[in-house]
Amino acid sequence: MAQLLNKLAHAAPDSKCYVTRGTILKPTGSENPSQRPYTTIHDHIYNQQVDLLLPDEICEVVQQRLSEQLKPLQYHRIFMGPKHILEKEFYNHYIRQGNIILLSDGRVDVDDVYCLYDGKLFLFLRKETYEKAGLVGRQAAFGGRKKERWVVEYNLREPHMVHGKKAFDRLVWSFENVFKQQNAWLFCDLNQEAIDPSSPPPEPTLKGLTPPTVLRIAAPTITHPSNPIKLATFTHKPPTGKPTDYDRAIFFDWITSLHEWLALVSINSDRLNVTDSIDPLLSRYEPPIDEDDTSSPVTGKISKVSWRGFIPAEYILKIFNIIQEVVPHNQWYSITVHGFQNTPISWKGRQHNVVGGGMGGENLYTILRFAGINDTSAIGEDDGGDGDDIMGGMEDVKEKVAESKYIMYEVVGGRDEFS
Amino acid sequence: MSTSNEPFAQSLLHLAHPADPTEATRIYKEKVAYRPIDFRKLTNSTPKATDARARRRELRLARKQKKASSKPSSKPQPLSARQKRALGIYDIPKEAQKYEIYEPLNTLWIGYIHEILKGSFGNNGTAGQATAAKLSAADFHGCEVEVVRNRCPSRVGVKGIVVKDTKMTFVIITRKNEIKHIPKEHSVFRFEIPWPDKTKEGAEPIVLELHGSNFMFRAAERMNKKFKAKAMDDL
Repeated sequence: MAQLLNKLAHAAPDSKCYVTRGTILKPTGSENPSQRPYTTIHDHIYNQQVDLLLPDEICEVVQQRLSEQLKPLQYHRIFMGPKHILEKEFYNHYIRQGNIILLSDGRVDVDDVYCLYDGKLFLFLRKETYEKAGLVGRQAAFGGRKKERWVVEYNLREPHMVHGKKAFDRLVWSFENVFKQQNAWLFCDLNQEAIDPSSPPPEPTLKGLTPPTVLRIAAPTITHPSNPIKLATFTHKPPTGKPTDYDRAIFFDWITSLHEWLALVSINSDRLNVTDSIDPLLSRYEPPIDEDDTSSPVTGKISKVSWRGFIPAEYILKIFNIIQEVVPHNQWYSITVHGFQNTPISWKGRQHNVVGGGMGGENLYTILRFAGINDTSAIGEDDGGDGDDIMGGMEDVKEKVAESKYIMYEVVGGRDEFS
Repeated sequence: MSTSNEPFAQSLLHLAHPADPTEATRIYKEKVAYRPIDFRKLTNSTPKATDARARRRELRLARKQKKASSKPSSKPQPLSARQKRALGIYDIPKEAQKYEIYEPLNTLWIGYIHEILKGSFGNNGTAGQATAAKLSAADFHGCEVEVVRNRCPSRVGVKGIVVKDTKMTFVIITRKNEIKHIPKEHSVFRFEIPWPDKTKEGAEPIVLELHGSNFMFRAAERMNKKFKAKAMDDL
């Protein structure tokens, strides 16, 4: 009996989905505003896939604009040991003076994983490796009862982190003698033309790195649908004033079914086929439709633009800004960004782990921007556009400016420090 | 008959000793007038316990007190840890803290180990249970060890010659002439033995790792100790 109780106490925490509703602010000047959704995009460092869902009609325009303004992203895959990143030339050029992100492979719950972003090096180690390494670290957030995982953190941009100084030499000694295993790493230089137009075009080989690298390019792939599919309607009366629990429940219901519909669209599910005739015993799925709204079409075509690769947050911000500008206000779009399942860091430097058996490591977010609505009385407005919970204060919107209202879903895995 | 000024007891005594009047006065003075009274005994004049249990208790305590004060041990007590630290007699003096002094000790030790382990290693350096037993009973003074794994990150990588092998620690002198006390608990030490047979020149040395947690015994005790398998949750 005691054993059973124990198991329940450790029961894996469930994944959570945080929903944010608000208005997208226009970026003033060159800085992106420090509000959601910009902060979410900016803080989610390691991304591996970006899916953009659009109504087919505007896909052409978007495609054109993307090919003009957005260069394909270059990233490298390197097979090396950690000591190579401390080699003088590479270290000085990319880490100290440049800006790169690095991620090593390795399952985050059983292996050692190393990552670097913003000049900070993080080593997520097993207990055995930590005790052999001789570097000072702290316990990882999801280390288990027996302190099985440890984090060693070094800010490599500090002035004393150079060859010849004690602290740095200890790091070099440790990498030389202890970390002898070689791993596959992903490297992305943030100072490349795709991200920062003023930078020089990136070289195909990395300076100062002895192991060979494999260059890869993340270019957008566009899928046009062949048949129309069932659409969901995007109008809904969010709770205004003091919402009752019932109103909120209805709203949550609608939000989650919308999320489900987006997911089905992105995998080209058969359930959304207009001519789908599955046995109702197996599936009775219908997209969420507001029966009162007769103006929205019931079927339509949706195309998908996706990028796959080692994509840094800055690149996604670029994509987001371009899309936000180019998609006309009376159309909707949705961007879904997936993170790595084995990433040790999800958002804002918060630690992340997987839940028993390697599952539950999802960390992704979706931003769904609605078609702008001129009828402002139906929708309550949150102040400042940073609506956190669904209890929005009721404020009248005076102007008839069609503002960009959005909903953001952040799916956070079971073992994640981010909240 | 004496005069009435004399106390009664004295006159009685004169009667008892008719031939010797000085004796009578002496007895009177010593044993009557100036008789010493032991007040200490008087303070215990609590009423004797009538209870059987209390009486047994008093007897017991009285016996204990007598024993404690009867024969204080004449053997010298060993020094306490505090005294040892204060006297500093077990510290290595400054002049002796030089790595060069211990290098010959290291060569001696290698010779000693070769003696012990003659023929224990197979062709590719494999060894059996018996070798492990011999090594566990061996003396490690003069062995050059390196700390390979430790719960405290700053102790990892310390390398030097063992100058003292206590119950819980190794005292090591490093190449930089520093004395380091490394606790054996939660540690793994690595040391090398050059190949015993002279026939294989240029072969790589035999590398051995010692788990300190299982080795926490004084060198003298280790000789006859049978090492049993110990649960290693640490690893």
